[in-house]
Amino acid sequence: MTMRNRELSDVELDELFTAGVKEAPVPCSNWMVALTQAALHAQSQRVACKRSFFAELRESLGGWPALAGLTAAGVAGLWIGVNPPMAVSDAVWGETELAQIAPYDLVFTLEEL
Amino acid sequence: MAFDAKTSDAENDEALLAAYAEGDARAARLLTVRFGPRVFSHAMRLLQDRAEAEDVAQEALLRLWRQAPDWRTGEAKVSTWLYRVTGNLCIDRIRAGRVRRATSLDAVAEPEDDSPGVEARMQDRARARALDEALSHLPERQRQAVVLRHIEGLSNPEIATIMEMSVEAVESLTARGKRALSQALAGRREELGYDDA
Repeated sequence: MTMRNRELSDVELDELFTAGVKEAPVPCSNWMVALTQAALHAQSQRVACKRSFFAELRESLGGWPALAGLTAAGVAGLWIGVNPPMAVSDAVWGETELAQIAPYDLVFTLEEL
Repeated sequence: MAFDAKTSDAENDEALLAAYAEGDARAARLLTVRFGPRVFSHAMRLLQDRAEAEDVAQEALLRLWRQAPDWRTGEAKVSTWLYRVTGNLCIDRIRAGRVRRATSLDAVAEPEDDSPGVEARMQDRARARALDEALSHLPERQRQAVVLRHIEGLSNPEIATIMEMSVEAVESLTARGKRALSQALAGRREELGYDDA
């Protein structure tokens, strides 16, 4: 091998790599703008998806005030079910008695009147 | 928007990615400025084709945006993850025959430049171009290893993670790659400024 075609030494190769780093390919500004827009678009889509699960449920129920009312009603209902006041107990018991009267008994009773 | 390499540590990257997932538009812009040019440049080194490199970089970042909400902090560096995705996308394209080899030096027009230090700049440009051309003739995995080690400046263990191989295999790939580059460029010593014959 002649001197002219001698392989590059490590030092020479390192100089080439240094030149390669200095002359790094640079993207054009239009592409960077499009890339930023794509990032923002992907982000807005995700945020919209994330929002739709909770926010749309809340909105379909009438917003925060309606949700608060619904929660209060639910808690009250649960409390009445677990520990019913006397008046509620009587009302429920009374209804049960009325439900136990057969329809034909009711007809005879009405005819007697 | 100034953003130098010193601020680009892994912790910052992950914090920015978490902010991105929470809908922070500033984080989206910062991450794009931080990683867009780097991913593009890496893809360009591997593909030597601007349009394909732009496509690959866009796809790699799109995958990062999709991954952001499920990103597991502390498991992988954002940059390592991006190098892996970019490398895989590039290799897929090379294997699919979608990328042509680098244009010869003679076919590329030299831009005019009258600024001071023009000679040194022109020599850097010629060396960088010769390097790119020689890189494009290496087998794709060798090329990827050499670029990651000697141009991106990553450590062998980092490259091993990116390329999913052992550190020894990385060392072997880079050594063979460098040897092939030295041989390929031997006949061009004079135009590279090594006219010591």
